Amino acid sequence: MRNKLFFAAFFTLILIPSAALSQNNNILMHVRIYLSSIISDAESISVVSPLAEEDIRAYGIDLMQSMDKIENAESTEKFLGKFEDVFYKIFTDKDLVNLESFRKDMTSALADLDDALSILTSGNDRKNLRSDLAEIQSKLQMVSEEKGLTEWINMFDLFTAKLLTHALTTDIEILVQDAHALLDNLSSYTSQLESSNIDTGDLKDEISELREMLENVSEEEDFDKFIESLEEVLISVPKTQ
Amino acid sequence: MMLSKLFKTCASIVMIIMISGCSKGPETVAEESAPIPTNPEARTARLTSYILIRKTEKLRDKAIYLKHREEGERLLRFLEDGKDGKE
Repeated sequence: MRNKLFFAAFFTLILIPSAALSQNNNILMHVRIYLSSIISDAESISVVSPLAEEDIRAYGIDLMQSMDKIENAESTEKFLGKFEDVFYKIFTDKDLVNLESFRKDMTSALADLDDALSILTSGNDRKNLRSDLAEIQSKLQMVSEEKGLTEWINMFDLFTAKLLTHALTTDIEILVQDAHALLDNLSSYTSQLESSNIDTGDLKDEISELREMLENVSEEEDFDKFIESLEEVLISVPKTQ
Repeated sequence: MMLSKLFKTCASIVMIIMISGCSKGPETVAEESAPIPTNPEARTARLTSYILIRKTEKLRDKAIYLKHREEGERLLRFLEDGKDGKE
């Protein structure tokens, strides 16, 4: 909705000459909306940005306060210069995330999401989510410019929010127990493979290392690292089927 | 980034938990308040959910970053055009 308002105002400014009379106020209104959005999404932005969440938020708040002090064309110009500087501090590296790499990653990720739907949903929920997923996949291929991208990301955001309502949230202690059970089963499976004369490589050593990691898990960050290592090991596990 | 690994991992979790006879012992573990199911399906769903949540969050963060960068760039271009007197 916010984006729709943004574009409506944006095109009004361009297409209706009389609107240019209040152009400065309108531009500042857009900047204010944008800054509010940056402040509220600082945590997500900081995952890719070189700046920390608190720095992004602080820059945003500082700019909002600067806006309140604008009195004339000169202070407006000064503010806009400051806004540009801050923008490039937050969004430094164009190559880190670009439209092409994003689309490539997303195409691959969306193709796999169908499998997660099979594990976590059933019945009409699964059917509806699959239908949403198909639409998102189709629209991703049509994203060719920035406006399309923003609309697509909003759609993706809604979809993932819906999908995540089907995911279970579990305490780390329980997940650690589950992971221990998984490693026990993986050990048994490795033995089964060996007794069938299937080469398991370094799997036993890797399982031992994973057990050691798991013993030291006390918070989510540790468990994330364990899961990353687990993924590496599981991908190389020989399959009998 | 490594998202495609997520579902290979999930598939492996399902396979390993199911094939190797699953958990030994009782189907539930007594907790202070409610019993936590420890059957293979429950374990699989919990681990899969955790991985899905973490990976999807990362993907959403990336998408939000990109959205703000694109919006900001568009805004800056508009401001530049305004300064130059373009329409």
